[in-house]
Amino acid sequence: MSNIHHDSAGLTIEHLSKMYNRSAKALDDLSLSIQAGELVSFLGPSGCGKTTTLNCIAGLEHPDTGTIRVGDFVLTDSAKKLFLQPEDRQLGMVFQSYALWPHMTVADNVGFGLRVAKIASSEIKQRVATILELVGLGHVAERYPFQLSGGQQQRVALARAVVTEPRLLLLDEPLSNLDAKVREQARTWLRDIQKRLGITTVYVTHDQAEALAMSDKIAVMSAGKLEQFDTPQAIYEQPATRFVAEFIGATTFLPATVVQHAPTLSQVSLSDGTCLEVRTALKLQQHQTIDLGIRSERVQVATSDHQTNVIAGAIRSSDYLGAKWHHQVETTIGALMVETLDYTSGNVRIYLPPEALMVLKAA
Amino acid sequence: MAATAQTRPIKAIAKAPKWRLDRVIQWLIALAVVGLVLFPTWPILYQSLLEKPLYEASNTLSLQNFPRVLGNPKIWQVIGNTAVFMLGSTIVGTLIGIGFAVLLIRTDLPGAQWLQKLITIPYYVSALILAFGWAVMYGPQGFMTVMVREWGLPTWNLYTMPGLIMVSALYFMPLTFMYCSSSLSMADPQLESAARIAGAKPLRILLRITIPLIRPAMLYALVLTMVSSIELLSIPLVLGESAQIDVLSTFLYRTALVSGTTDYGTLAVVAIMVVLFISVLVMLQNHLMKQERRFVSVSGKISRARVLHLGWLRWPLGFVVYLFAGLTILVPLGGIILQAFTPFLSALINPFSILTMDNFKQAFEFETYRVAIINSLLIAGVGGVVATLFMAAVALLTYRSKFPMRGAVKYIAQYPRAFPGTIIGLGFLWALLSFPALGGLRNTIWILIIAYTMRYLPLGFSAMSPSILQISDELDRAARVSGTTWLGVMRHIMLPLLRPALLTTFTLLFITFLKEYSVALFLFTRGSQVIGTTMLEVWAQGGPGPAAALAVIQLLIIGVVRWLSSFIPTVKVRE
Ligand SMILES: Nc1ncnc2c1ncn2[C@@H]1O[C@H](COP(=O)(O)OP(=O)(O)OP(=O)(O)O)[C@@H](O)[C@H]1O
Ligand SMILES: [Mg+2]
Repeated sequence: MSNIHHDSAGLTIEHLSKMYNRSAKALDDLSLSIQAGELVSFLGPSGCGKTTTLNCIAGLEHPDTGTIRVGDFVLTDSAKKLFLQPEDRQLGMVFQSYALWPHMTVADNVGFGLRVAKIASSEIKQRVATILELVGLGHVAERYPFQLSGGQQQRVALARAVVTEPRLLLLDEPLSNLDAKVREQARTWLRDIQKRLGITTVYVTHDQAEALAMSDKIAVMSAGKLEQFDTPQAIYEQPATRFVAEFIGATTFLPATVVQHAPTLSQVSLSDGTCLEVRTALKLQQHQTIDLGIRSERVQVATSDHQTNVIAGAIRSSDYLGAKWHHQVETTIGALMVETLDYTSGNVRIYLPPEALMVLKAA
Repeated sequence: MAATAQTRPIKAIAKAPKWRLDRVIQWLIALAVVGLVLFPTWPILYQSLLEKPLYEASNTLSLQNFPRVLGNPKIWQVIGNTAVFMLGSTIVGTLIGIGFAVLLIRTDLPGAQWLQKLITIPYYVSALILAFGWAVMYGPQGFMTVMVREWGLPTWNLYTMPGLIMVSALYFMPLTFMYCSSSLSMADPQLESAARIAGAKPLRILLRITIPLIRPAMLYALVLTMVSSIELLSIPLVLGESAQIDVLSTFLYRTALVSGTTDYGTLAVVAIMVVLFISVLVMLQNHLMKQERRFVSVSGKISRARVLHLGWLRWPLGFVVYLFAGLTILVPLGGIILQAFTPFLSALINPFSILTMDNFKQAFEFETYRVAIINSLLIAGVGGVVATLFMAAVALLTYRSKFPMRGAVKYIAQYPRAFPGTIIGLGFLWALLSFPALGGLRNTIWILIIAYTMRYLPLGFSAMSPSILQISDELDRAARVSGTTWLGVMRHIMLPLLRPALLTTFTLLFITFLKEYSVALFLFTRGSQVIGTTMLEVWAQGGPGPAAALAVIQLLIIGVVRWLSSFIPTVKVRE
């Protein structure tokens, strides 16, 4: 199958704000820019404004201030009082409920945007067939949406969104209605299609694993604000704020003081005097106070090889999870979660590798 | 597969267009609603502040109408009558309705299904026809009255306040019955079983658990009945005429149309008082509606938990209930049908020996009657379609658009609930008088269609709303993003999905428009008469036969439409 050529463009958002009511800002001065062809995830807890952002891009919500551009095509500019209606924006969107029109067949659903654009019916037919083939649903074209499985519906929704060759594809938690197994397949499949089409994509999710696996970049949001916008690795290794660290999987946070800073390994000390080696890209000053985030899935039980970053502890309780054991460990620096492959109990020594420790500027 | 499809040409849109067709249409709908509601209401407000009739050129504003009306003892007598009538018919009607609901849903009374069909009949029959039926059977010269008198037993006088209350109560009873029985059948029977296990006796359960459970539905129906009883014109008009019992509705009708000297100021002030009073009741109703959702405990599936076994009372009680329903519902209806097929109806002559089709022949041969039937069908059919589409447009505007004033439009569209038909008729009449340019409308059925649409805007609106709200708004959003305008979404997505709801609303409006006449009484002229106004005229001229024939024709049409509507698919579209 040859590549479908695409002239998608980058997306620029500047100073986007939106209030639904006077008390709370749904979006608070959001700015970011996405390169052409990238897949960017908006990640954040429920109610942080992901859908609102997406709807502002699509023109389904009217932002209070800010500009949104695709390439140099202005969609919204509050200063110039410019607001393009959703139907004039030439975007594609997949909704959380898929929003397939129940009174139309799959082919009619997919071809709707083309019919609206008054494209010749022979061409519509051919393009619908092509795109259904691409999503692997050529055989269900004449069925109605309720006759499809959830996974198939999601594919139809995607086909409908991309058949018009939009400059931007918006996806609002498209996989959240699928069960866990199908979801992982769909994730890979979706990313594959997106790359093949080369279409700039904004992907909304509250599942961090999904965001890490699929994205070129991740925008982490909280309470209408952009917390961090970076590559998945950077987000994971160098969370900019405690909120991001927490959202991405840190469980324990401890205050610490910088003892010595070096580009590779720095020394910090905890309040009880324990000295730990950490790795960070931040420029630290001596005596500066920081927050130390501990990522439990990287904490290990110490072996004799480990000289530094070792603390003593005692296992309080253990849960068997099949592939591994999950222990609640009481240590000198507080309670920690530790994973082991074999059953362990009693007193243990815990090794905190530098990768398990995230340095965060003190709040 | 070679699929290098053409890229969509990028429309070079430098700036958003100044006006969009979407917005224009939205404004038109909103203005139509405002115009429709204001057109008949402003003349009444305005007239209340004028010394002379509003169409007169030299007029002065003053507040003197108010003290003058409030100092008029005749008005206070009418208000007193109305209060007695309202309280009486509300209390009796509600009690009978609750009684039937409990007996049918919560006890093992024999033949409950049949009884349920029987006692909801008055709801589908127009009050005017019911009043005729009662007059024909139980009036001073009525069939039953004379029969009982022949037996040498004491008889009654229907043309009194208690008579009016009795007939109206039976007309309103189905309302309470329907609200309470649906609330009863939805209430979780486990609540009652729990009380049973706790050791309570059935009667105690009924009084302490069951009745309190349906109290919100009861209260709601009670207020609804109060509103309807103030609005009701036909029963006091037909049965109260000879005894000269005037309630507010008949007072408005007689002062405006029958007595030679129309006192415009008084009419306007009385109308405003009525509207204000009903507004309060409607607000109370809205409040109760919110409460009800909180209160009723819904178990999901409808189940009949017959906790109360009647025991030896079962058959005697059944007999009494059937006798009551038969005498108060079947007999008046049967009476009007018999009347239609006989030259005169009397207990002294076996009606089956003098059966005739003459009344029906007249109904089809006399121009007046024939035109009335055709007009009613046109108003119900054509007007029903127009009104359904208009009401769908209003409901879609308020629920499915970003129109800035959609909240206000919704509120205004609900407002006619506070206006009785008589006052709407009066308002349209005065509006036509003050705009002579619109006089041409007066002689057509279009003014009736417009007035009916205004009166039943809230009905159609609330019939459409649940179906609209059921459709996920992501379906609209998806279509917008796919490149359709708001109008396109309405046409391609919403209207096809709403087809069953549109049909149901149309049926409802068809039947309602067919029965409506109180608005028309103020507006019809020769040539634009409808079945209801003609029945009333013929009846007043002492011709019960043709009036009954017209009634039977109306009943037949309603029956057929209801039968046809049972084929409307009620299953909603699966998503
Ligand atoms: N139509 C609305 N009216 C008022 N408040 C709204 C509306 N839509 C969203 N909000 C509020 O704005 C905030 C952001 O909502 P949004 O839907 O963007 O969150 P989200 O990040 O998509 O959450 P979720 O993960 O639950 O979908 C929330 O606090 C929400 O309550
Ligand atoms: Mg959301």
